[in-house]
Amino acid sequence: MPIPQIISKLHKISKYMLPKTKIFITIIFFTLLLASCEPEEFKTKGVVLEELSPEYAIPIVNSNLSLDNLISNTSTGFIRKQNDGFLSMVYRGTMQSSKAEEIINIADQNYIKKVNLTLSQANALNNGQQQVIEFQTIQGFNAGGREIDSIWLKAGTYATQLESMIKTSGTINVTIVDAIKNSTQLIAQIPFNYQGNLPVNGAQYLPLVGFHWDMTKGGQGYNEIRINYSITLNPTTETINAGDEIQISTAFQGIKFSRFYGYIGKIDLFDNKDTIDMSIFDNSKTGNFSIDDAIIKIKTGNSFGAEITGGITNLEGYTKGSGNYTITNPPNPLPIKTPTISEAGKFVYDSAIMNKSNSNVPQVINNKPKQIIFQAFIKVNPSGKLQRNFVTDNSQLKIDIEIELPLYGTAQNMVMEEEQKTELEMPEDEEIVENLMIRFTGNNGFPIDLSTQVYFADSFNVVFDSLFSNINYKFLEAAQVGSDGKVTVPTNKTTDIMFDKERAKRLSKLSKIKIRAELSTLNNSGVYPSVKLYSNYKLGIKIGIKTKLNLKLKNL
Amino acid sequence: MNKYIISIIILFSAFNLYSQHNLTMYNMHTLPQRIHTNPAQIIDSRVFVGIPGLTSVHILYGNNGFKIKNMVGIGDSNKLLIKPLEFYNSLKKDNVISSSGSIDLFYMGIKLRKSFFTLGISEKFKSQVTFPKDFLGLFIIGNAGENIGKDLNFNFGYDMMLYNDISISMSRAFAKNKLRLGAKVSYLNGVMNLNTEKSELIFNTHQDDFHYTINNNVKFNASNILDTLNKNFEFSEKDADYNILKYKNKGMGFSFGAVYTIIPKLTVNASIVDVGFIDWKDNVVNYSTKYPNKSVEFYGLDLKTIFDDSTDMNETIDNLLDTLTDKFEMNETYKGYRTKLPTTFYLGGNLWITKRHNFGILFYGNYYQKKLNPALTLSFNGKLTKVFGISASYSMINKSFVNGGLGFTLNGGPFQFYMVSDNIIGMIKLRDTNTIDLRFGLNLTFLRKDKQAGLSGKGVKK
Repeated sequence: MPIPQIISKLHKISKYMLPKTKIFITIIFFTLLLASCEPEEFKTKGVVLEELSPEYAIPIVNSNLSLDNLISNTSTGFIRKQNDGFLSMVYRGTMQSSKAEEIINIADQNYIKKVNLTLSQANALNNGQQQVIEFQTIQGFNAGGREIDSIWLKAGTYATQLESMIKTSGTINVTIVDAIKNSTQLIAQIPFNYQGNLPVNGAQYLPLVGFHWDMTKGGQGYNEIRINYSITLNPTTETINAGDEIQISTAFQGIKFSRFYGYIGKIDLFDNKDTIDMSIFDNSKTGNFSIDDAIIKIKTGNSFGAEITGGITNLEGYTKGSGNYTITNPPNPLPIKTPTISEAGKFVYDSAIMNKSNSNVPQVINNKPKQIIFQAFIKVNPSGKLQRNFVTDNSQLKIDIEIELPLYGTAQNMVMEEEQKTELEMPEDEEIVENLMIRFTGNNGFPIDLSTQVYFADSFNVVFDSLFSNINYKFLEAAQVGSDGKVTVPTNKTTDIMFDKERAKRLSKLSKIKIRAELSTLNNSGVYPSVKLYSNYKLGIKIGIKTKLNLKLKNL
Repeated sequence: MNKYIISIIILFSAFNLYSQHNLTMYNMHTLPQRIHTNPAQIIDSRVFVGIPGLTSVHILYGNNGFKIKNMVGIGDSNKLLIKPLEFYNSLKKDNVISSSGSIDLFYMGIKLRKSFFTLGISEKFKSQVTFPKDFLGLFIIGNAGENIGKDLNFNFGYDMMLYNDISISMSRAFAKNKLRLGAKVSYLNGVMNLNTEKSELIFNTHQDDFHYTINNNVKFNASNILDTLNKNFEFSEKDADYNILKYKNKGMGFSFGAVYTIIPKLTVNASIVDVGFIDWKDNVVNYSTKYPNKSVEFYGLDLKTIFDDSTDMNETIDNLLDTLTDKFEMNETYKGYRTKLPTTFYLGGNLWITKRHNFGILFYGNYYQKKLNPALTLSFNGKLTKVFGISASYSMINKSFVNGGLGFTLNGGPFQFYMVSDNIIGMIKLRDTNTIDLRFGLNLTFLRKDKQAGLSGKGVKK
């Protein structure tokens, strides 16, 4: 259909429709009118977020801690668990001597042997006859004041050098007769070749590692070595004269032994003073503390095969503010065992115990010493050459002093204090925190009350707030114990600490916290029965925070 | 910019996807597309043919609760005020944001004596995001306060379906034209599907120590005709093969309807639409929670790690996250699955005041995810002139009481242009609505008469 006709048709339709469709026109009109109602929100500029006050709860910490977790274990302070789970706190100090290889040094050894041809030997060579010259020497071994019966070598060099003024070639063998490795003697074999010039030189360097060297075969019974020389001279057309010389230098350098048999001389191994830190009392201030059966265990370990003697010259506890308390009756001499020849290279141990039956150890410990001070000495072969010695390169002597505090006793109002630098990162907008609650939930399986206070200080060390209103707020209550001192029922306690907006804002100036903790073992109406601590005691701690925020009208 | 913010809000707001109400269109007796809602319905023309691609374009956006005015307002200095708390309060426990659309590629119908036949091909897209009020509450009011100790529901869901519908329908008059029965059969071919089969995620903050407990049980399926399971897959328009008939995502749909003329002035009608399913078999992947019965509990950090000098705190937190990740681990399988069509039913009556005009009442129900979404509509439906038909409706949909629908058909010769919406007010007053719904298209209609069999009005004064 042509376009004009379509238009004409549409026109006719419109003419036909319009008079009869008033409702339709009305609807279209209102539709267009309403369609023009663009929402007012379309015409805005910029966006703002309405105020909100959400409240959030967050679990921060959940732990079930045994004493093992609460006290940091190091090699010098740790918890020891017995078979029944009973716990002891152990502090350990150790003294040890240098190793034998550091104490016993073996000097380098040097020997020179000169051989001059006899007339007959010279003539024989001039007549085209080979000559073999053999002989043995016994040399002293310079070991200082020590006597070596035999040694096993783990390092060193056997150096042999020759310088010949004889105009012929040949071979020299230098044998250390009593140095054996795998059934073979230590032999240096040095061929030399005359090529028209004198002197003729030759050398050989051999490792000593692995050789067992017996120095008892020389007649004296120690410190002697036997050397066999064999010189083979080839016939020559050169003119050989009587008196022509050949010089053989033999040296042992850098000798290190793995075992030493003989006598190592009188040695003062050490006379040292040391301290053992009792960190458990580091922060203690006031209060009473008693451990029913504190002990000091002195244990020695020795791997020197020699006469050993030693003793303790000083043993005392140092309590800050009170001074030193001597610990009586230390073992003198120290119990030290010597290994038998079949135990060569092994440590053998001995020990002594100081306790309430033979010393005043418990009293000194109950004074809460920060340190135990001790001084001890050890001597080797103090009586001289009474017996033959044996040592290995690693032979050593050790003294361990352990202060063992079996955790069976009482604590009354034992106050500990500590300061820690702390910075709290608060939101930039200080008004954002409406309130904050910290909830501590404790499940105490220890028979110990814990009263605590935490002070908040600013950068000028001025306390501006404290966690609890009461200085002695009982944060955890002791678990109940039975007649055997063991815990029967743990206790639960929940503590809520509220920070309102103003209090929360003040935390922004927090620079340091001062913690005061007061420990007391179970208090039954003023009576403090001794309690025992076992490995299965747990302290359940849960910390959660709940905070209401104030998110203000904010431009986005 | 604020225009865009609000437009985005509108765009992502949508009706329950599976609730294409068509409440106004149902009674538009001049519009062929009404047969989609009740295959027993007929129209005032004996023959119609939709203009291919333009015969019906339907878009629907909406949600089941909140309105723009709940989300934004005007603050001081003419600034757009975002109102999270009011928005939160306006939400239902489970909220649905959906969008859907359909295009009839082809649609035709013919009346042969007492029978009416239609043939149609359409493409349909439906998408639905389900989000829980509690999840927004976690951020807006927090997990403490009134939420502490309460099981917060974080049951998110996302469903999306793109499929083709090839359908034929037939209706026939019985009992001297007093009763008309109709049925429609659809062959469905799925293109793409995302299906949240199960979504249970419960979060609880314990009121004593504030520890968190999380229970989750999620099952999610996906399928599409593209080879997305191939690790080397990269989408390329030219490689896409849209010959959907060769794929295996097949399904069937059925609709049934009836119209009964009680007396000449009064008809009642009923239909059930889209009873069916699609079996998804192409490139299927299923994700499901590996340990559905296991609770995840978070109590905070363990102090032991603080006492242990050798422990790196970052490592501790990483380990914690790894543990949480393990507990949320998902199984991945590749089993086909079936999704049901969102079945809808209509039950209505029309009182004819003339043979061209009637008043209608319609009860609608959509059953989805074990939940009935009802609606009630009152309407006036008229053919004002031979060329102009109109329907005006008022609906109560999901506790929303301001839904004014409007639809019209305009015929010029055989050409028929139409437009219909269940919520015309919402389209105009955007800030007060949670629904935007529009259908329009072009048909060719032939042999139009007011006294088609099945249409009532017989014996009524013109």
